[in-house]
Parts: sequence; C-alpha cells; structure tokens
Amino acid sequence: MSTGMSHVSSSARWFGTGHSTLADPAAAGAEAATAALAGREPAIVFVFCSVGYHVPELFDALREQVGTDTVIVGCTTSGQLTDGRVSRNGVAMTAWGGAGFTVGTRVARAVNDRLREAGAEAAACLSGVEDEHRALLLIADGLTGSHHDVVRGAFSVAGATIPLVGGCAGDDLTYVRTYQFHGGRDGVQIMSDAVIGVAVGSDRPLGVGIAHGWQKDGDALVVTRSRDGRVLELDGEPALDVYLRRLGIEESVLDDAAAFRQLAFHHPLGLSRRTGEDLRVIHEADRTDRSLLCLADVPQGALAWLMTSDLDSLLEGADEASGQALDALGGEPALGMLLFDCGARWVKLGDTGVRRELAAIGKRLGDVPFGGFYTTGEFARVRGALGMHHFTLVTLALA
Amino acid sequence: MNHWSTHQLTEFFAAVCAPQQEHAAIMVAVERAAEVLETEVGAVLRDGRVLVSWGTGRDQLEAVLDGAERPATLAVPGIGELHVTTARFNPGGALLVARMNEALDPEERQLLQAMAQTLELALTNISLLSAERALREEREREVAERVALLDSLREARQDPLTGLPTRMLFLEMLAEQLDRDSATSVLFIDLDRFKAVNDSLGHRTGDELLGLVAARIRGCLRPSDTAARIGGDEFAVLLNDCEAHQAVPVAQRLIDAVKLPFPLAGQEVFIGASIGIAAGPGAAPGEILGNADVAMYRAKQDGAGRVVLFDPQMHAEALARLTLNGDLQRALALGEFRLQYQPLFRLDSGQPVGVEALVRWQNPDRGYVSPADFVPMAEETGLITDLGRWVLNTAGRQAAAWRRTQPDLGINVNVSGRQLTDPQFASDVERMLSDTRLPPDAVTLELTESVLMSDPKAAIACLRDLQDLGVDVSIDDFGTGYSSLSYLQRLPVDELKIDRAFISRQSPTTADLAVVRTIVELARTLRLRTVIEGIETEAQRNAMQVLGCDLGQGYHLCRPVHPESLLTGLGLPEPTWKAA
Repeated sequence: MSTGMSHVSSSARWFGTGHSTLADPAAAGAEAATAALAGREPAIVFVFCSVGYHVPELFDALREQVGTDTVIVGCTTSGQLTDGRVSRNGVAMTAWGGAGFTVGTRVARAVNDRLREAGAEAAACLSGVEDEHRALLLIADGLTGSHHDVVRGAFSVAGATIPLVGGCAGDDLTYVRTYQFHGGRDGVQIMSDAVIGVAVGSDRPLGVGIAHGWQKDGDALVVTRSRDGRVLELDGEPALDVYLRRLGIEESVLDDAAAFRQLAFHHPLGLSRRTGEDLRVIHEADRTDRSLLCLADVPQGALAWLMTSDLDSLLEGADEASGQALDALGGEPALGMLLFDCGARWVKLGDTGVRRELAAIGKRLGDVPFGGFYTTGEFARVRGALGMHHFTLVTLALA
Repeated sequence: MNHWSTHQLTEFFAAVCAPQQEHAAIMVAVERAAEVLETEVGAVLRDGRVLVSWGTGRDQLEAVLDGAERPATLAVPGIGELHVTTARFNPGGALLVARMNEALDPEERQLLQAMAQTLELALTNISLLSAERALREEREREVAERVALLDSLREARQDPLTGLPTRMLFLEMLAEQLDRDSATSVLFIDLDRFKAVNDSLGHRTGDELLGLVAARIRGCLRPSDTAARIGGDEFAVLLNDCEAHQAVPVAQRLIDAVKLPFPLAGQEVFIGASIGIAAGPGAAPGEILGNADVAMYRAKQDGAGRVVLFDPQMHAEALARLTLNGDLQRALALGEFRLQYQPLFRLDSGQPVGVEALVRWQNPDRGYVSPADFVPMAEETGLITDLGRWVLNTAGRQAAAWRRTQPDLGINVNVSGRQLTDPQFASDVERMLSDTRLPPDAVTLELTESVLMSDPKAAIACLRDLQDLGVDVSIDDFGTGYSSLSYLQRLPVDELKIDRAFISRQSPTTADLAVVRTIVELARTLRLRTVIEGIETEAQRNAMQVLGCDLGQGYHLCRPVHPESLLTGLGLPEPTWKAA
C-alpha cells in the first residue's frame, strides 16, 4: 500500500484544467500540464488519459512542473472532458492548490478477490485529513467485479459523515485492461487491479451531485437466476432470450460483439430502488449459457426493468448533477468541479449529444472550470449507504 | 404490488440467508437494510446493546442511544439529527435504521419489520444448521474412529501386505485345530537373502516380493491348510491332520518353490527359505510356533535352504546360546579376554618376522572357551566390533613394546567381516597407529577369504581405506573358499595365508603339494607374500620351503604363547624397560 499527503496552504486557492489530443505523449503531457498548472504548485493533479499513450513519457512532462508535495493520481478512460472540450483519444488534467486544501492518498493493490477489504484500505487515506469539509474520492480498476463491495469497505471506514465520489478506470469501452496511476514528482506508478483512495480536505464546502436521466421501459422482470454480474435467467427463461425478444432483436446481432455492446448500452437493466433505479450496464452476451454479463452484480430475486432514455432526459441528468453539486456548496462560489461521467452515456448520447452535454454542464457552471473522465462505473454517496452507480454523472464541486 | 420496497425483500432474503455464521448474517442484514432504505446508519441491537453498527462507530452509537432502544431521533455527531426506526426480532434483537431528513414511511417500516423477521429466520436457521453440522461432524468423527478401530483390528488379524492371517489369527486357528486333538504340524519359514533384496532394490520391491512369496506358499498347500505372515520375512504354515514327518516333503516343496526366480524390478530375483517344523498336539499354540522357530534357527545355522524338525534338545542349545551371549557381554566389561601370540618365521632363514595375535577367553565358570565357540556368537550379536577393537589396540600396544628391541617385528591381527564394514574401522586403525606410533607397514590385518569374497565390491572399497593408511592386508585361510581370480587381482592385498587344510597330513601328498605350488605361483605372479599355516612337522616345513613359501606358522615352529614369554621363547632379548 502506498500513500501520499499534500498540504499547500500559502497561496491563493485555484483550480485548473488542461486538455491535449496530441499523439506524442510527452507533448500531450506538457500541453495539458502547462494549461492546468499555469506555473502554480498544485496540491493534487488528476490525470485522465486514453489507453493508447505511453504514459511514462506523459508523466515525465507533468512531473517537471509539479512541487515536491504534489500528489499525482489518475487512470485510463473511455474518454476525457474539460470545460469546453471532450476527447476519445487524449489527456485531461485537473489540478487544484492554494490555501485551505489537504490531500491524502492510499493505494490498495491486488484487489480482485478482496474488494471490500481494498475499499477499507483505500479509505484509510482519510486518517490525517482532519479538515472541516472532507470527501472520499475513489479511483478503481473498472474490471474487477462487484464494486458495491468496494463501497461497503470504504463506508465501513468513512461512515455516513463523509461523502463519496469517484469513478472506475476505463479502456475505451473494450473491457480488456485498465490502468490506475499514483505518485508524485519523483515518479508515478502505473497499476492494474488497484483501488486508489483520495481524501479531499478543504476549509470550504464540498458539493456532490448524482443524476442519470433513465426511465423504465415495459413490464418488470424477476431475476430468477444470477451469479454476481452474470444474469442467467429472467422470469425463468434464459436471460439472453428474454432480452432479445423484448428489444425485438435478431439472434444474428450476437455475431458482432461490438455491435451487440453498442445496442445493449442503449438498454441497460434497472434494479428497483427507493430513489429510483440502480442501473446495470450490459456489456456482453454469452451464447453458451444464454446469459447477459453486467459490470456489477445483479442479485438473484431482484426485480428489474429494461431501461430507456432519450437525449433530453440525459441532458437534464447532466444539468441536474452539476446543479446538485453547486447547490451543496451552501452559497459559496464554486472554484471548480470534477466530473465522473459514465462511458456508456457517451454511446447513448452520441458524439453530438456529448457535445451538447458538455455545453449543458458549461452553461450551468458558467466560468467555473471543470474536468473529468468517462468511466466504467461511478462512485457517489451523499445520503444513505449505497454508493455504486452506472450510466450516471457524478460531480464534485469545490468552493 | 409495484412499490419498490416489496421488490427488495427477495434480494435481502437471499443475501441474509447466504452466510453460515451468525455475525456475518447480522452484518449483511445491517448493510443491506441501510442500503435498501437509504439510511445513513444501521445497527443490530441485542438486549439493549449495540451488536453491529454501520455508518457510524459502535461506541458512538451506543453513547447516543444511551440505553434507549427505540428513540424517535438520534443526534449523531458529524451527520446531524436522524429519524430512527427499529424492528424487533427474537430473541431480544432489534434491527435499527436512522435516516436524515425524512422518517421511514409505512411501507418502509413494514419492509424493515419484514427484514427483521427475515434476519430472525436466518439466525434460527444458522443456529439449527450449526447444531446439525456439529452433530453431523460428531457422528462423522465417531464413524471415522469406528472405521479406524475396525481397520486396526482387521490389520491385527490380517496382514495388509500379503492378505495372509497374522500371528494373532494364526495362533487362534492353531489353537482351534489343537482342540480337536488331531495331528498338526507347524512350519516356520524364514526367507534367505531377503534383506539383500530390500537393501538393494528398495522396500517397495521388498514388499512386492513378500506378496509373491505368499502366493507361492499358498500355491503349495491344500485348501485346508493355512499360511500366515508372522512378521518381517517370516511366514508360518499350519498343516492339518499332518504328522511332523509328513510335513517334511511339504516343507521341501515350499523351499523349491521359493528358490525359483521372482520377476521383480525388471530382473530375476533369487532368494531361498529355511524351514523349521514342530508338531502338536501336546503343547500350547505359542509353544509349538516357538519350537518351529527354534528349529528354523537351527536350519539357518546348518546352512540356508534346509528343513529341520524340532528336537527338545534344541531348546537347551538355544538357552545355552543365550547364556553364552550374556557371558560374552560381561567378559569384555570384566577384562576376561587375553591375547596369545603365535610367531611367523621366514622359511628360508628361520628368522621370526612377526606374530599373529590370537584372542583367548578364560571364564571363571566355563574355564577356557574356544574362539570357535564364541567368535561366531560375537559375530552374530555384533559384539565382535568392540572385541575386535580391543584386540587391535592391545596387540598394537604389545607390538610397539616389542619393537623397542625388535624393530622389524610385525603384528598380524584378525579382522571379522563385521569389523571391515564398520564405517569406524579405518579410523580405529588410524587411531591405534597414532597412539602406539607403530609404522603402518608393521601391521598386517588378516581377513578370511569368505569375508572378502562374499561381497568383493564392498570389500575393495573398505580395503582401499586401509591401503591408504599403509597397513598390509592378508587373505586368511586362502584356498578353502571360492576366490574369483579376477577379484583377487583387484583386491588391494599384500599376503596370502594358505589354509592348513592343504598340509594336514604329516607328509603332504603330491596332490596337496600341487595345490600349494599353484597358490605360491599365483601369489608370485600377483606379487603377494605367502604364508603357510599349520606346520606341525619338519617334513611339512621342508616341503613348504622347497615350494617357495615365504613364511610359515605352526606348532612345529612355535606354539601360541603369552606375551611375557614370547621373546624368551624365541631366544630374543627382552625389552629394556622389562629388564630394568
């Protein structure tokens, strides 16, 4: 387990973002870092980049510009965004610093079969961060099973007093391998199968927003047989058969895995919850046992719906998530905002829709800078104890 | 029906019923209740105490509850004012959730109650299953113990390796037969050379061989007869309605069957069997088997592969052997052994060149005991190693004393087969040389031909160590055994001591002389010294000299003498220390 701690308290508070789509990793890193840092010494820099980069070179360019106490964290993505810009292939950096911020980090490795323990380990970053306002930000490998357990582990340490945000690393929606980053000026570790905990401390309020904009479509289905994220039966029938029939899709669509995934992103499963539906991204179908594979667990016995959405609803969700975070600042002006937007939302929105989503967020935030990435699952908890989401936009606003 | 809360109960039920431990089930219940009802805090209380807390610390929750089990609200530090709902379950439990901003609505309270009842059901099931599991484990343990006991009993009566009855069952069957008062013979079978198979081919092959032997024994018997494995490589056969003399051909048939090669480990393995026979009725089963064992021992002594009928006299002999063994042990401790020395002379000049140390035992009760009686026993029991070491050291010291006035006098010491293969033997010799300061070439170690030729490869390895020390090695009693000429050439020896058998007649015959001449010529070819033993007449001495023997030994030249008489007996000057 590695840790990092940063206290920067002498200069004015700032929040900066940088974005580059240059193909050369060193040049992209330098361009994004220069824009985000603008010569200032950050408490933390978040680096979100596409999987194609040779990241050591990218980090070399960044490390030249940071201070000795600066913490660098981040991950690979299924896209990245900053104010006014979104990219499939590129790097986005978000940084903040100045008086009144504290940052602590903790990394749990080899987490695949011990997610709950890993969540608790990562949340131990909170110790030593005693600021009046705190949040726990998690960045996890997006392909390691049920992230509900990561949340449960983190909640067992953080309790109900500390809000949770964050996202799971992506790999451009290929679901092969994701990477997580953690380090500082002296070097950055590039890992898989890790959970990084970032304790965000501030003397001013922190605001969290969560929204998605999906609705139920058709009658409910009972999950009659499932194992973790694999749904084997719905209403006593093979899950894949029910799914194809409900959507009116031919079996032949399964011949092209990518085509099926694109289609399934438009029709996730929703599990009945008190404040709405808990969404599950379907990313694969298994013809051998006629099952559907979801990114998070689908409990046997659950009541589920096929979900649907339209452009307007999704855009409303983006606006709502941004607004919730700003509102939670209690009237304090926002310094900047971190966003964790589901990678499957991009698929649903399309390229045009994503640009409209970016515009909607920008419109809501005005001049407030923002940056983040497209995830494979989102962490967020303000109320209650649930904290794992899909097809959702999660925001963290700093005052 | 479509209220969200009703959908959650199935998931909750599945999750809470999955764990097998009570604490894990309670933990899952609290977590899931808090998640489903979206409450900040969840807890399970039992008898007013917080058992598990979720969302806030247990101690902190205990403090804010302050003994109240069903407060309407709780002020939790860091979270704020929470609306509390609890649902009781038996025995003495309560599932508590606390939520910010809004209290649970009626459906949610109903759901919480259902969750509490589900938890109660799960805990009851876990309790029942735990008790059942414990009971099942106890039963399984009992069954396992019983099976183990039965197995051990079965093994006590039936040999697992060969499937034959054991000694215990054999004696029971023998007792049954003797009760009928009919003639019964017992064969005690001991395998010859089995140990060599075990040592060279491994225990697994040895076990396999025992199985094959068992099958051959069974194959030689009538269906009404019984074969058993008594232990190790010992078997017994019970022949019903069979007098002792009738058992002899059966025993011979068994020996012939065992003699045939066994195909093992890709080769043919040859062993043998020695058999003792005892008959009943008239004695107890254990006694009859013991008698057959004694007879088998005699068969072994007489030479492997024989059949011997038990004779009551054998018991007395066996007892005598036991007594002899005990006396031998004491003799070494009490210093009853003595050495006599018989000189060796150059036949051409008549000069004494060395002496052979001969061990003697004078027992207060037995009187003089011949080495022929006690040396084989000492060999058998292993006492020969200690006795031989004593002989080596005593003779070495004596020779060193003589050499002060007779610096060319050598000393010959007899070495047994057991001593030769004793890993300590070479270092014993080295230590003796160091202690006495004898030059190594003054010492000749005598080994019999049969010892060297029984395992020539091993003998060569042992002799190399001695050769490295510089001592001479002599082959004693040469000509009586079966020396392989190829090995003779490779053995690192210096001397052949021709057995007295070739000149046992007062005047050796032409044939005797021909053999001796051949041996002498062979020795010359191999550049070995020759010694002829047992010269008892002048004619013998002359004949041996003419044949070219280097050295001679015998009563005609000089009898074995006590050390104090040796030099005067030879007409040589006494050591100065003695004269002084």
